Amino acid sequence: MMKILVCDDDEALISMVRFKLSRENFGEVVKAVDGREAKRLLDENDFDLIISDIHMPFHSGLEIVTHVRQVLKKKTPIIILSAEGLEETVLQAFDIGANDFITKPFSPAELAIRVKRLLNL
Amino acid sequence: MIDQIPFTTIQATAEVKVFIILALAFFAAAILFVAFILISRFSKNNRQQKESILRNYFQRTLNAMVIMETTSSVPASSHHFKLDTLRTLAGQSSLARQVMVNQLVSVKKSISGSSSKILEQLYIELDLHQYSLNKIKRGSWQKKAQGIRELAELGYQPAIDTIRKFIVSDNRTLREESLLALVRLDDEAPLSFLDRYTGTITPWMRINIHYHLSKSDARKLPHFSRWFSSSNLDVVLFSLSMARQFRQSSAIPFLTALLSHTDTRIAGLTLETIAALEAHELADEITKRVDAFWTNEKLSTRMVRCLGRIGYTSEHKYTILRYLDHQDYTVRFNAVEALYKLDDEARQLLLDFNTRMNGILSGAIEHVSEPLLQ
Repeated sequence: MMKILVCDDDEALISMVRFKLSRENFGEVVKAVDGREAKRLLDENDFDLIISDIHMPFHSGLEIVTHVRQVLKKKTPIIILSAEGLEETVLQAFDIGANDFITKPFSPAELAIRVKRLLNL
Repeated sequence: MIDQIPFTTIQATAEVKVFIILALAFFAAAILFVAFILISRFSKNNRQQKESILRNYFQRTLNAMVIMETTSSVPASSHHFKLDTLRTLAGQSSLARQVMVNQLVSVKKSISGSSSKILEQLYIELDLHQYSLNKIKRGSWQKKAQGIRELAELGYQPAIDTIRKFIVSDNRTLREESLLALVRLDDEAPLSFLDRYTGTITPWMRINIHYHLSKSDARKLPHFSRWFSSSNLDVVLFSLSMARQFRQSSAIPFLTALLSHTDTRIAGLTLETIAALEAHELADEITKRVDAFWTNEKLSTRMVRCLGRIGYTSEHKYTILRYLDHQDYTVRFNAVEALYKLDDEARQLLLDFNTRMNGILSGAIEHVSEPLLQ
């Protein structure tokens, strides 16, 4: 069974994303409400996909990407969510190893399609 | 008997009594204070707990309604059942209604597409729009502002006329909230309020309006030149700034008149707008106004910067050259930079002038030619 980590400090959004991904039968969806919790979960578990907001308490989404790629040395697909679609931020995210970038507000259906593509389903 | 008790003892007894009364009063006040703190903390915790339960319950139902209705056909009976349950809950207390509105607003900020439309529909179906409208009608100014924001966030367009009344409110926050709400709600003419607006447009409002306009359909953006002749200087400055931000070349023919505006802020912003829009056809008009701008350092600086972007004839370059003699250093420096960067002919004019003046501008030329400072 697939395991997906969703990191965002907006609990309402996390709840909706989890519900959507569960409905699509993508497997187990684990939540992290801040960067610290996300790092801990990443250190203790293996995930098939990570969806992370950029702006979170303790560690940003970009720090999470760096942690996965440089510290954990994992190739887990990562989708970055952000309310700002600044070219600079998008380029930086891809540069450090993110696989996809979605600007908020986004459609849950679109997110599901991108998840499906990254999981090769 | 009393006569035999020394006077000091009687006095001491009275002092002790006063002391005891004060101590008791202090003790009672301390107990009351602690009780007050405990009660308020208890009620706050209680409220937070209720809020959390309501939020979780509402979020679960919301997820089901939003996600399932966009992915599969849900029977009408199921939708109505969930709606009735939520309506009953909303009817129980204003706390429940507020929690629901907050959740809808929060989710709406991150979700788009058909799911977002369902959130707007739920807002109406649960009569929560009425809750926000009631805040506008009866609440304090804080409540009114909150109501206006909720209606705008959840796209309730029938509230446009009600919100429009607050444009002239004495309260600045209400004025600002209502203007921003109109920009968001009025799809057809988001800036129509500018026609009669007499108030100020703060930087905060400008940033927010720009943010919302940049997210809307570019084809529906108004021609900002329409407000260049407004009697409200704030409106003129705002529309100039928007014409520049959205690169509206349709504004170029109307910029000439603003160059002669009596307000130097407007004339200065017009020069910046001309430069940003690269309106080369206005270079001659600017050149004609050299004498008018000369005495104002800020306008002179903007003028040389502008000509440095759009100048193309020798006359334009000689006009910038004149500013190398300006009394203000910033103007002279900007003239050096404008000539250095404009083209080869302008750069040669600058270097020749510097040679004739025994290298007086060498420092400035070195500065503008330093690649690390570009």
